[in-house]
Formats: sequence, structure tokens, C-alpha cells
Amino acid sequence: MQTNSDRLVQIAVAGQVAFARSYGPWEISQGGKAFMYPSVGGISYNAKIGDLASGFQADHAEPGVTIRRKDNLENGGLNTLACVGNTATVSSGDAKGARGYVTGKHGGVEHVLIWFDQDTLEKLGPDDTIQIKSWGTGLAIDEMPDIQCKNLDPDLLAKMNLHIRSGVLEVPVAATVPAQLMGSGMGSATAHRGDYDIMTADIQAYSKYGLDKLRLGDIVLLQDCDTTFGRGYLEGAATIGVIVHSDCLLAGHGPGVTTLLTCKTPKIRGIQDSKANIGSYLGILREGN
Amino acid sequence: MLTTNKEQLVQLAVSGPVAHSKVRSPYRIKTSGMPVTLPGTGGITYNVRIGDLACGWVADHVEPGVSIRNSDDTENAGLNTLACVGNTATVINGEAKGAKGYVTGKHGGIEHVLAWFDQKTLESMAIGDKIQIRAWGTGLKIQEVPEITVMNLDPELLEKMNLKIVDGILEVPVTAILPPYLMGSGIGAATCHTGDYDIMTADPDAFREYGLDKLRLGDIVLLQDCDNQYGRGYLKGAVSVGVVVHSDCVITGHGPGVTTLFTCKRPLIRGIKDTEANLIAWLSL
Repeated sequence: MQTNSDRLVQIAVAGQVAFARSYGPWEISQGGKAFMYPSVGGISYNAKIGDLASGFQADHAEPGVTIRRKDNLENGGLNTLACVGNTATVSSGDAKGARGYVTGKHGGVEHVLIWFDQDTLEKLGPDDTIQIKSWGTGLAIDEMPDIQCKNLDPDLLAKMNLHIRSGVLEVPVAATVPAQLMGSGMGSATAHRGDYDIMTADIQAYSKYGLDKLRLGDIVLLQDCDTTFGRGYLEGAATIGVIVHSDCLLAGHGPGVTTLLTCKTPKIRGIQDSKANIGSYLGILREGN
Repeated sequence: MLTTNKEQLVQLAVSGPVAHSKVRSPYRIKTSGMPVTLPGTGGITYNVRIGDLACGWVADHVEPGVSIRNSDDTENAGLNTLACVGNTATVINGEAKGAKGYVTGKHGGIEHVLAWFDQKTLESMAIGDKIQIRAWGTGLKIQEVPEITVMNLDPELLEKMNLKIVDGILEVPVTAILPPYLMGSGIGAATCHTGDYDIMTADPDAFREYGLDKLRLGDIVLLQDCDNQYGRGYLKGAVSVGVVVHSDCVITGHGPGVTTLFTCKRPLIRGIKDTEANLIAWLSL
């Protein structure tokens, strides 16, 4: 597959490990029950790429390390330019020099999420700086000009086992999700940053579409979902994304999807593959996942 | 050999930290009306260097090498006014401490000073690392051609640029000679002692005719009928010479930026076509 990767600029962006946030004292679940769970931010020691997205008693838990910048415009630069699969390096503190990968972007809180190995996680502290060699914004597949790539490192794209067959891009995906399940994040101005959530409150849909088996890092196809210039419904459109954060109990929320590929016309086809996970492409899954 | 007043020019330290990219709106609107999301200014740019083509990147206003900026606006104006192209820049903290490079341009609007460092230094630098510049050149004059204003130019770089005076006219090697109607964003700014202005690239015929496809970052170019003495504007017969500091753009009225090095209200500057007229030839980059 030919891309324009040799014309894409590599620019350093950076952020500090963000402190965990609480939305308490109580959050209200879809069923009207008050709950208090750990939420976004911080260093997640035991929620990892490859783990079940619904496997934690948590609200939007972010696997690995969460970073942001205090200045909103600079944080906009970080959240726009960082791409899933980019190399990240700890540039201060006890874990200085350790390397990991960007695994997603979380909208609303405007966090960039990063995988590091366990040893590095144990050494990291709040406000440690992580620098990312951003690369991928503007990526295009030569043979498929109607398909937009977003938030995707060119080297990761090359590992995703993509094929073009009769003018359609075939993408291995762990799940195919219908448009009516897409929730919070809909209507945002751009899918070049952030994510939007797969709603998990409908029990029948939850099992019908295999959301119980969804894992952090899974590649999924969103049917009839156009994320070319913002996020909305368009029959025939398709979006491929990656699961970036865990499930939660709030109405209209659930595991978040950061867009990787999108097209307004039916030129993307999902090929069911339970192993379609960025953790396996990047070689960062823990044993058992 | 030209005679200059370099012995009377003060050398002052100015500095700033490596600036982070900023994004307000996710979209830039192309000349065609199409919204695009692209990398732009700021940061450490690993793979766009002085000597590379200015056009063809999937980017907008990309700054080669390292971009620096002070958070205090008045101090940043000091940095942007006094730093001159060719000045020595030194990393003064972090992993790359002690590494030396050169100022390659100034980018207006965002008010960044751009500096070249070798690849090893770029790879070891972090956003926020401080760069200090030995600012030298503001007020520079060539004794033999007093009507020509010299700006943003290190005196030692001037001596390497193969300049000649022939019949009272300063001859400058340049890679391109551009007409005034291609000059865009940055026109009307109060001074050329900071920043740059852009060569517009949206007209396909002009793009070919003036060889903009071959323009390289660091190229020395001549701007015909462009007066840069006290701001930027059109003046028949005026001539400016500048250096290409940042990449092409997709926004209407924008394109590769030019930081002024010489300007004269009368035709006392002549461009001599030379495809090698680029900072890379003189700064041992």
C-alpha cells in the first residue's frame, strides 16, 4: 500500500502526566443510581491495552499514562498532532529515556494516552514530561483518495494488514458497531482529536454486537458513521477507530473510539478478526491478552 | 571585500525556550474552500531542514529545525528583533546542552525565531529546552552603499554571501527573482526587523514561471519592486533580498515566508541567478 508518508512532517510535541480527576462526590448512572468510581487521568497501573473495555469498576478509565498541557492552545497542538502508534519518550524524572507508544486521544478532557511497560509506569510521577515524535497528520493512501486517515502513525498503518480489493479497503476489525450505538462526542467539530463513545446501556445490543468482548486497543468499524469533518450519521459512510478508554455507567457514554480511517462512501469493509488490536500490532500486549 | 560597520555593532545574548505547537481551530481553509487539518508551526521539526524543498510537504507554515519563543511578549519582541540570520545559537540546558547551531529566520505573526541544529542535537532536545543566541547585526551597514538597509543579518554571514559592488550597485546571488504581486501575508507590518512575509503559491502559472516548485528553505531570493525599509509595501524600483524561512502553506495569501536581509527604495540591488544561493552553502550546515 502506497502512502504519502515521505512528505509528512515529524514534529516534537510534549505534555505532562495529568493528575487523576474526580467528578464526584457522585456521578449518576444511566439507571439513576449514584456511583463513585475512579475516572480519567493519572497513571493506570493495571488497566492496559488488551484488557476488556468493560472489565473495570471505573468511569472512562484511561489505560497507561495520560498526558496534557496546561496551556489550552498548546494542548490543542499536542492533541491534534499526536497520532496512535507514534513513539513517546519520557523526558524528565526517574523514568527518563523510557520509550512507549501513543494509544489514543480522549476528547472532552483532551488527554493523549500512552503505553509504557510496567517498570516505567512504576517509576513515573505526576508532572513528568513525555515527548512524542508526532507523525501522521495528513496521511493519505495513494490508491484510496476518498478515504481520510486521521490520528494514525504511518508505520502502524503498515502493520494493520490492510488490503485493497476491487476499490474497497479491507480492514481487520474486532467488532462492527451500528450507528445508533454511537454517543458522547457526536457533533464535535473534528475527529482529528478526541474520541466518541460506544453506548453500552442497551443490554440486547451489548451482547448482539459483542461489546462484552471489546478490548482496549481493539480496531472497530463504525457503520454509517462519517467522521471526515466532525462526527455524524451518514448512510453508507464508515469509520475505523481504536478503543481508547474503558466503559462507564453514564447515559450516552461507553468505550471511546478515536478515528483512524473514515470515508463518506462505502469504500471501507471490515474483516472480522478478534485479534485486530493495536497492542498486537505494536507488540505491547501483556501475557494472556 | 565590502566594508561594514561590524566593529561598532553590539553583541547581546537573547534567548528563548523551544516552543510547543499551538492549535486553536482544527481546520485551515484551503484556497479551494476545502477544510484540512495539518501540522504547522512550532516544536522541534525532525525531518524538514534548511536546503529541503519549501513546497510539497503535507503541512502548513512548517518551520525547519527548532522554533523558539518567550512567553513574555515584550521579551519575545527583544528576541525577535535582535536575533539575526546566521547568529550562533547554543543550547544552554537539557540533554543537548552546549550544542551549537545557527539562526535561520524569523517567523512573523507567531513571532518565532528559527534555529538550525544537527540531527543528533534535534533528537536529544526536549520542548522547553532553552536556546541562547549571540545577537549581532542589528544596525549593520555596508559603507560603500549607504542607501541600502541591512536587516536581520549576521555580519559574518554577509561576508560569505559573495556580494559585489559593480558601478554602485550591490550584486547579490539569489535563486529566484519574484514579482511584487506574489507577495502576500505580512504586507503592511510595521517593521521588517522581525518576522517575514509570504510568497503566494496558489496561482499555478506563476508557480511554474517563477520556479517556486524548486524553492528551498534557506534560499536567498530577490523581491522586485518591494520596499521593506519601514514596513512592507509596493514601491516601483525598490528591491528587497531575503531568505526563505518556512514551508509553503494551503491558506489563501500565504506561502513560503521571506525574512528581509537587504532593502533599498531605489534600484541599487541586483540579483545574480545562482542555484547555490542558500544558507546551507555558507553556514556549513
